[in-house]
Amino acid sequence: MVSVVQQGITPSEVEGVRLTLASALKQDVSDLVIFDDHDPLGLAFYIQGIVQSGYVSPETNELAVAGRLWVNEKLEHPELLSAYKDRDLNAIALMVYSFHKRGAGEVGDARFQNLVSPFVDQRGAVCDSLFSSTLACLALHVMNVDNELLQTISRFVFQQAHQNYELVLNDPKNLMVTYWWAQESSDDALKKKLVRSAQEAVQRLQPTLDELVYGSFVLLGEVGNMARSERRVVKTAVERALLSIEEHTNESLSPLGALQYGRDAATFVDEMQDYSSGHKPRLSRILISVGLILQADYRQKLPSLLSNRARWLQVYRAVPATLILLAIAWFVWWVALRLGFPADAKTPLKSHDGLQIARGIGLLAGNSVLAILLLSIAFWIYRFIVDLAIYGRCQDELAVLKYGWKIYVANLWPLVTLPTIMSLLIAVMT
Amino acid sequence: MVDLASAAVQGFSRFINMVRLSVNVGPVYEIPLGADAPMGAIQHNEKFYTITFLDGSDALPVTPETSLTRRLIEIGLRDKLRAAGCSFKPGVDYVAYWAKKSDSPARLANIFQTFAGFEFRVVSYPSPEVPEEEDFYLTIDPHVILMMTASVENLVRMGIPTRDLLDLPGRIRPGLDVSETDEECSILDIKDDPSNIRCEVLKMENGTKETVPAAHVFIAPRPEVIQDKILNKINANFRLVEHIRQKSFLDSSQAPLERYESTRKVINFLGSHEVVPFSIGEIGVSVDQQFVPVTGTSFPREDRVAEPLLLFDKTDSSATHLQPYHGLRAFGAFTKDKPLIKLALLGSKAGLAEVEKMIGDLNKGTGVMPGGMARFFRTKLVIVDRETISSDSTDAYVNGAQCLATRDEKENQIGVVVTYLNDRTPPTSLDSPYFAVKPVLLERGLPSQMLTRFVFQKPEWKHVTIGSALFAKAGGIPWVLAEDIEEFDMIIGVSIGERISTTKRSGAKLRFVSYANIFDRLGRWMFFESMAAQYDYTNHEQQFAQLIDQSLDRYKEAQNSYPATIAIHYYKRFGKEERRLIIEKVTAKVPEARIAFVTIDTSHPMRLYDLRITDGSFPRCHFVHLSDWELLISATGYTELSQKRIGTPVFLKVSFNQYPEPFVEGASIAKQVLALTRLNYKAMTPLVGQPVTLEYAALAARFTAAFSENQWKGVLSPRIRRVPWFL
Repeated sequence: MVSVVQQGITPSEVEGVRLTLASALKQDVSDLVIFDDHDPLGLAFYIQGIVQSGYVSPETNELAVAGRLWVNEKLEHPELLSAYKDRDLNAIALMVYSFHKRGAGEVGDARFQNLVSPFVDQRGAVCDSLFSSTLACLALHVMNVDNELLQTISRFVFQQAHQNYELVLNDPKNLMVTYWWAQESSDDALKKKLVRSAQEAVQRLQPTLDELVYGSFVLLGEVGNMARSERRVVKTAVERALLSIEEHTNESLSPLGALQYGRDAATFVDEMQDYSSGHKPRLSRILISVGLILQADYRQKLPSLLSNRARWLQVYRAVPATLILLAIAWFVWWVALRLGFPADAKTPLKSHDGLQIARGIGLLAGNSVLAILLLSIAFWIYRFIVDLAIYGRCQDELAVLKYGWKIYVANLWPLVTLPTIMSLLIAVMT
Repeated sequence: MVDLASAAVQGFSRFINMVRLSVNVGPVYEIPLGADAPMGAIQHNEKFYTITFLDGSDALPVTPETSLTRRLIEIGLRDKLRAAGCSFKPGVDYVAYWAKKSDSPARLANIFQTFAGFEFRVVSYPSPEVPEEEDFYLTIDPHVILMMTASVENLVRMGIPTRDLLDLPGRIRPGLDVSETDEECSILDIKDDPSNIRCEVLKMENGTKETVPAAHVFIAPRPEVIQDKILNKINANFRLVEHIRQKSFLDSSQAPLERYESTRKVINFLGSHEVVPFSIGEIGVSVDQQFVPVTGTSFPREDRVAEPLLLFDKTDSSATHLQPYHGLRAFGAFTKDKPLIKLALLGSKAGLAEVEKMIGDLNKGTGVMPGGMARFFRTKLVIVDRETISSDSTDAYVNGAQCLATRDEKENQIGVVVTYLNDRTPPTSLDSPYFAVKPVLLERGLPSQMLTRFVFQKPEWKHVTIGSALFAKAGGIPWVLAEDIEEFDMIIGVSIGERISTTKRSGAKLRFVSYANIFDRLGRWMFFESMAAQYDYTNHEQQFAQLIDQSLDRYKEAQNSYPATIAIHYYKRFGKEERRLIIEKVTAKVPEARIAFVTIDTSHPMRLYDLRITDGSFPRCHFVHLSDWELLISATGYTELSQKRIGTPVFLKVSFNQYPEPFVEGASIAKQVLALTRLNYKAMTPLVGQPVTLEYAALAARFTAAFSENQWKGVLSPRIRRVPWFL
């Protein structure tokens, strides 16, 4: 079968990305003992990733709780900020933002504003950094604290984003946080600028991993506002970004013995050097977090990513598949009728004659098989209509079959038992 | 080819260049307090001793303390070496040489001479078996001795222009007899009246100016200066720098092995010429001819730390690499908030054209630096002003710099001034555009980057280094350490005792200057702190403590809190009084403060060898514990990160003292020192010999003599204090 969208990645590959990232995240988080010692900003990104992608696992349940405790501790006692004040402020701001987006923040909490004010300079910059200033804006904004500080910092962010735009472009991560701010502040002009920059970044001959990932992030966020003709670029970029994040994460994990297996290779520099693997990249918490958000968003928005032609091709190809399945259903029904099914099994079963009862059981089994067959065909019709025509999750019939088969096997038990029980009930009750 | 076949078979492959001394410690005779010390008595710790009992003396026999025993062994060894035909370097009696056979050309003997020799030191460490007792060792390291035979008068009569000898350091030596009483000086002026050539000098001891006969003044014997100022001028057709490099094994790809072999020959010489065994008074000394092996169990005990990872992104802890070049290429610089660096150019018309082309290349990118500044440093260089000068004279450069600075006073937009120089400047040519322009610009708050024409000849690999220096001077941080320097909030690299203003141009008035480079836990260079005070050597401990005190305040300004744990790196040993005053100042501000006093010495003769490595170099990141408080760290030995090594590795001898009680182990100190070798923004190579705490101090020291007092104040302006202007 020829795919309607060339060079795309399959649903199982997308799922593979999620599994890799989730596995690395869980492994990394399971080593967490003291928040301060484990790159608070990276962990804040984990929390943001979990919140935005809706990822749930026993290993990460504790993370948000630990993060919340850590944030409260710093908000209550600013003197406990570590020597890396800018990093800590960024982490606190991001977590405050994440919690509020999840509906778990305290509106009107002025503690963050008290914490951040000493680090705001005359221009309104927090720690002399656009990244920090933007995160601070996000946190202050969601807390709905109507104060001058938010205005001062947001004025700085606005000026940098509109008059000193090189600064935004200087670090691709700025694209993402500025995009969040553009969303929060409904700054459509800034969004347009960011989208243009992201399009340029991802379409470079050889974009860096950061450009690809954060550019894709912005583009996927804005895909609904793009013409269908522009979306193919977004889809390709997001897919490349997802695969690259997966690859980077896989490379980062240590292949050393059982003790270190699956952990951040950079935490065993000494051993890695002994194994001549000292050049392995380090596990990137930001990439994992953004990867999880991207992956969840991608699955949800896949149909909207396709071009008009590809989308209509999907719908077009779902129609014959559905018709064929309907024809098969009709054929099964026709054969069943010829064979006398569905048949009345109740009468032979009630006859008190051993031979008749055996016949009744046979008829009951035949009825069940017929019901199972028709239900299975209905299942596949549903899959083609939903996965190919409506949501467009799958790009062709084979992808629908592969994707559907997994679901079919996973749900085989109810598929068999339900019709059987129904047949039994009909036979016994009527 | 090194012949190792004759070496005695040993069960170890790693050695230190020490041989064990068997010392039979007999008594020495202490002269009672108040009694007259006889001729030849040895003064030690305010007491006098004789090594033999003098008839009629009321001296008492005592067992000499360890430091006196070491000293006596050295005295005895020196006597025996002299008897065996060795001489000693003037003023440095622990460097011996064979004076009868100079290895420099005889035709140049009227200017300078070089000799093969060796440095020797007696050291002692607690015995592993009986810690209360001391084991004595003799450290031997080959050395090349360079001596000036021509006085300034001789040089002037040879036709050396007097201006070339100005501002050079020298010594005043009445007659040819060399002695320790030679006075250090700086040559301010030369009156070249043929009948009576005289020098005006600035005496370093007391800061006074004096006029002395030029025949009594000898310039300091530095190969680059002799080559540049003398040999090149008289067309001597001899390359002294290369000669010294060759004799120091720097040209050899097997330098450590050759040095090892040469050291072994010196040990053999001691035996074959009956230098050992010997006795001094009632102390008998014999030498074990085998080098002391480095083992994993007893001192010198081997240890290692991992090569530190570097971080290239403030917000992403995964942006790490072991090498600066590859890290910059992949992730850009640590500071990503500097999209534009505004430059002003200063130089000749042709020079500026070259500089502009280079800046174009830096922006555009090159084969070695693909993507250019945008990719490596996330910035763009923009030229905002130019000043063309018409001649190569120092005055023309100074005037040009003043014009640029004046124009910038209103707009205040220049980030860095790039200055084109027509020629390289030896570190001692203080009256040169290089040393004259920098202070003029700094005085007005402008850091500068000097580029000579040689940079443009093969610029490929220099692009990244220049980009890194420009970026740092504009206030960016190219990279930091990925992991914290454990246990320390603040690391201070201190230098003290340098003098400012020893040149005629800057006023030739000695001031005592102390300065510190301050780094945070990630090795981020934070700021430059300095003090200049009246030249008073007796008060330097106070100044040292005051400098630390000021640094704490600056740290608080930046971090909103005082540091709780502090490491102070110093190239000299800390005196008791220095430590006491520093502790007093620090604990007044931070009562619970913990302080590590770390002395990092690169001038010692200790070397380590690893015969398993092809060239015999001891691997980088490996070190040995010499004792519980002393380490010897290999900073430039074998490493997988770089195949290119020059000469024998640099070994850092690190000794530490902690207050109020030991709170970090030696391995942590070694890790800290090695980590700090990776933060030199002027070097992309992983093989940097010194930690930045010392390296930056040394870089700043180059300029101190060329600064006037006012110019030095410019260095302390808030803007300049925050940039590493000395790179």
